[in-house]
Amino acid sequence: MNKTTFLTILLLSSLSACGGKEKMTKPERVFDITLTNVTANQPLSPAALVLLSTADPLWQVGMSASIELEGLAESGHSMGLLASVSDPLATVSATEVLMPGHSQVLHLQASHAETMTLTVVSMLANTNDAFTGVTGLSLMDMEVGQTVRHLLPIYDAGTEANTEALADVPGPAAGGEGYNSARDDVDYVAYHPGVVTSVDGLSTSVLDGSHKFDQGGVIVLIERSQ
Amino acid sequence: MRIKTTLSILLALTASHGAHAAHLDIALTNLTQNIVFTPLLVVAHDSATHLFEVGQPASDNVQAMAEGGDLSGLVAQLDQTAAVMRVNPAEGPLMPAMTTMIEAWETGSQQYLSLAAMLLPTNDGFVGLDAWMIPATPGTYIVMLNGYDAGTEANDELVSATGGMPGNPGIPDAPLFEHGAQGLGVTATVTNATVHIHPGNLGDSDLMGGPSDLINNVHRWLNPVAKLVITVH
Repeated sequence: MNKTTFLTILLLSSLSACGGKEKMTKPERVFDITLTNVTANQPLSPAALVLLSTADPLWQVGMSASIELEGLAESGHSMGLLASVSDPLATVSATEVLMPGHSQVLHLQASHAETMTLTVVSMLANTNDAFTGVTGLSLMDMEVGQTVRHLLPIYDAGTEANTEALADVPGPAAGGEGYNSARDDVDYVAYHPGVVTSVDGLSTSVLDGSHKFDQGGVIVLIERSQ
Repeated sequence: MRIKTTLSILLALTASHGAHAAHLDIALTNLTQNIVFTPLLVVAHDSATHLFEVGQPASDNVQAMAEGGDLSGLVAQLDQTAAVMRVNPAEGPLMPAMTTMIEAWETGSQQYLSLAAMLLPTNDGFVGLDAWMIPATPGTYIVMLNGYDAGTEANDELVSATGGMPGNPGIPDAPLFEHGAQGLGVTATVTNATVHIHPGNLGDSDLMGGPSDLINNVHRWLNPVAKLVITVH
């Protein structure tokens, strides 16, 4: 076709995309996200997943945890964190605890945006304030059918001292308190130093050797299916 | 301008950069909750240079760094070579969870990157990078770093004011937190006298005795201890 025809077609299609009589819907992207708990004996609280149209992380090593992240890290409850995110592209919360060795699949669907980053976050139940996850992970360049896989680190929220005590650990090892608004630890997020447990000389600990972990709490497998 | 002339100018420009003079931005994050990195040494060097090698005995200069945070020997050694250094970029220790940056660093034709700093409080632990090849392709690269044991001092985990001198036992300081005292000593033996992955601090929960002067739920870490982000321009 000649130059004039080509330009005319371009012009017409851009005009119709600007509104006119027909509503142009943006294409939806769908991500299937499989989480696998790779710890020995740390149940993971129902995960919170968020797609954001900014690259802003929900936490950062060296920065104080938000109240909502503190709530999740100490109690496993994610509703506060999910509600606190402004204008997410999409959110989803798992409905069940993810037991060690088990996997669960969650789906996120969002219209195309200039920026698209993923946050996945969950508490390690048999700890004071350990959480595993990733934030600010860009999904923008993912093609349909492509998968990416990451082993996610374990962080310490820095909001509760690592007593590992019966009264302070909410998971099945103890059944203690979850969230406590007082912050009695370093008050910055860092990589978790690991749990000591009663078998290794922490006299306050209700944990045993099975509750120990190394860096790597959950494997996230992301497939862009649409 | 005629096309032929333009092409020859382009070729000339490319040729002068053939030895790929790199220009780097570096960000190093101390990922730990409670372990301090003493002043850092970051160096770009040739393929023949190694600050340390895992599985090889540490040099005297590495021992001085790992036991007391003293970089003077390593700096003097590298000053004799064509290596390009950034000494103490954080202008002091790099505190837990903090990040230090090196910006617009011209590393010339030095093709490998290394770094080292003592992990405090440890007897002879250090964070290190041994001869990472700087990519020619511009982009952002992430390297995660482990904690190493220099293999030069027994991990007795006792705090001693003179502990930083090579040959003296003990940990020179345990800043930031209350630490124990009057510990009996975790061990007096070096089981691996080469550079190896640090087995970690043990600590104990006894502030006035026990084997260690370190605290078990404060002074431990899990690798990686540091995240290095290198942007090659």
